[in-house]
Amino acid sequence: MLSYEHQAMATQFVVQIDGVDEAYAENAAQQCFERIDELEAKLSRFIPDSDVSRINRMKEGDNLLLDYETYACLKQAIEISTWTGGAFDVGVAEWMNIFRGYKQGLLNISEYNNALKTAFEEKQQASIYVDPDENRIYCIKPGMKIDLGGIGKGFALDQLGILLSELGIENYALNSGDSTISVKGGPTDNTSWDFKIADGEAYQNLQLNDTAVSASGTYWQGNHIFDPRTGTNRKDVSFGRVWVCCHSAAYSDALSTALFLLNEEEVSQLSSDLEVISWVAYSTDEQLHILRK
Amino acid sequence: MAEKRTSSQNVESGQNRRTFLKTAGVFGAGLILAKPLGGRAGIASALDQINVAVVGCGSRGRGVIFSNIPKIEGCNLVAVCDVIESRREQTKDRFKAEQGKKVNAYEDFYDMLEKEKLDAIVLTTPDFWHAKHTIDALEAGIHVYCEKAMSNRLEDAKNMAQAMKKTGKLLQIGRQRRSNDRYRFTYQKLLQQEKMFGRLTHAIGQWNRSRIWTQMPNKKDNINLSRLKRYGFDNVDQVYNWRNYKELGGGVVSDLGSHQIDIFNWFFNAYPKTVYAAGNNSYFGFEQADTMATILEYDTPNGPAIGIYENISNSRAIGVYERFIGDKGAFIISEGKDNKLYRESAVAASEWQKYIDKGYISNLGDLQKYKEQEQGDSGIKETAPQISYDINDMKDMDIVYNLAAHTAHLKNFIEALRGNEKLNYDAEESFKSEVCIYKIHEAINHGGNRITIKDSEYKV
Repeated sequence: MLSYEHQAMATQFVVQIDGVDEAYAENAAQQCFERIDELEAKLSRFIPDSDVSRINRMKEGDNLLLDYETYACLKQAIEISTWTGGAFDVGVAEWMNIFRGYKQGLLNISEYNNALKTAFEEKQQASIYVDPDENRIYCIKPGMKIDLGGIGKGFALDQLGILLSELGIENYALNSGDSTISVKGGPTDNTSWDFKIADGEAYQNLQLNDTAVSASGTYWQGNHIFDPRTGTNRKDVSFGRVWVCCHSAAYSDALSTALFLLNEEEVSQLSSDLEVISWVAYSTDEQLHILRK
Repeated sequence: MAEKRTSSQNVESGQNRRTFLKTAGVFGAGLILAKPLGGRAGIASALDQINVAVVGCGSRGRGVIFSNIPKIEGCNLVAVCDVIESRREQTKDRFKAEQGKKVNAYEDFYDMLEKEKLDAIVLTTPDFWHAKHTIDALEAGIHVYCEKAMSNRLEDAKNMAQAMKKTGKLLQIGRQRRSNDRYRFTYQKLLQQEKMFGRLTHAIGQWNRSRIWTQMPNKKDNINLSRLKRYGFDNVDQVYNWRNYKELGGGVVSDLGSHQIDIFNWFFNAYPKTVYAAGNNSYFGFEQADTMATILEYDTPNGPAIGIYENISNSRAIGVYERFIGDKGAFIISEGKDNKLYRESAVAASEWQKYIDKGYISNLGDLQKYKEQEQGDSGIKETAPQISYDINDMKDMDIVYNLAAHTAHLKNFIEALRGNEKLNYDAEESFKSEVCIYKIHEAINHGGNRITIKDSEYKV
């Protein structure tokens, strides 16, 4: 099995390939990395000419044609936001700016709290329409800035899966920042890829094939988790970690973020209701719970 | 052809926008999947279509086809052309899948010219094909957008510029930063109008990447070498990695360096009078240098200036950027995340406040709007953060494309074809930057020479 790493989207991507010779695997990995960079150029709000930056500059009455990928990613984001009652929301970029400004000392605590409130009120007034029929977006009323950080890395893995399939590669494991993986086939002499989900002492071994799994938790983010439904940070999340398994990495990436903010009953309900979810796992008090279908 | 408009911006604002607002949807809906009442604000159906073909379906060609053309109203892709059957057929199929539109696919450029009614072609082929296809298309009455470098031979580049002048057809060269809104705003407003950075003395540019990636055919590419030989390729590697061959391309200096050195020339309002350069191919061993550095000397209208450029092919750290230094300030500019303006300490903050007031720049990471006036401020308090500046609203510009540079550059070409704009970067302008790029090649190939360039050499 051959493994290649690439830094992009503020994290590292790892492409593992099996079943082809080294030169071909390396060529495929390089094509994957070129594709990731191409997607970042469209989806990152930190690149001034990206589609997302263009959207974030829209004024009242503007409309824009979007790249096919941006449009597809936004449509998936809207779908997941609807399913989760707004627990997943890509319209959170201004809050992220305010958090960053506070951490850098550009805003004091009073300014920070007032800024969060202002951003919430403005977002409540905003209306951005994504055309259902063509790659176009309309700004009816500004006040919301987009950040695709909660879905973009998973979306990128889905796109890499398409690319690898076009290249005739049937055995791969893709990883973005250790929080989302997407796999197909298996390494030498195996029909699936071995993974483990764990929190503390509790763990579960997994054999995965042709699927994607994402995790959300507080390990990197600390205990302050932002809830887009209220525009505030909260400390009372129900879980240590949440894992979501879907056929699409964009879905698993975004749904793991959303489900982490819900309670056990809500997670159980969504896991049962949403066809795109294969299974959900979560940890409470270092105990793992798996909701299989 | 379309009615004349005063600027590209009017396409998506102006009357259409006002009509759209009257009938638009509700406020406070959030981000939703919906069409505004009264239909969309686009104007594609009102435009005459510009029929375009893209020649070359490699990675750059696919960028034009899938990322640039679909974002330009009325830019109508009718055909694609590539010498590899599977590549052109896959491109055709993907365009149908993503855009719902059938295009024709050709192996032979001249067969395509004969069969299609084309207004323009976009050439994304290896450098050694550019001159012949460009000149033949221009003489056939077809406008041409040609990727840089113009050619791998200086004489051919000159022939292309002369053909543009002779035929009166448009020939735009693909150095896309020339249509990047932030680069244009920096040049027009911050440098020319405001002289914000004082006298520019240095330009420093780098393109850092981890490696020169050698490509290989995909399993599904059906290669027929005897057919490829007809098109000037001796082996399969030349088809995929033509940039590494001196007879076919220009290597890192032409492919990457020319984008950035062209910005030195543009922002300095001058072209180098001398070039020093050194390089080697020791890292990857291809025909072309993989590692190089050059020093360029300029006599700018404001005094002497130096350009320093490096291309690194073994480390991606620090990325791709150009940095300019003046006696009142400095700036770093890029197509990526590295963009910042710096005020020289000797320049009072109040002097740059006027640029903030005009809306041209912002400070405090655009969080100024959240700052509150402290009551009873004694003037002595906690350590204040360092202030840096960013480009804010690109106001007072003739045109703001609000598109990624590659799309904006093609849009400028299409609008010029419609008679609405002038080309941002025609072949005559491009030729000047090609001259100094060839001189850099010459200096490297002679083991690090210092070469003087006469003014007359920059003329077509």
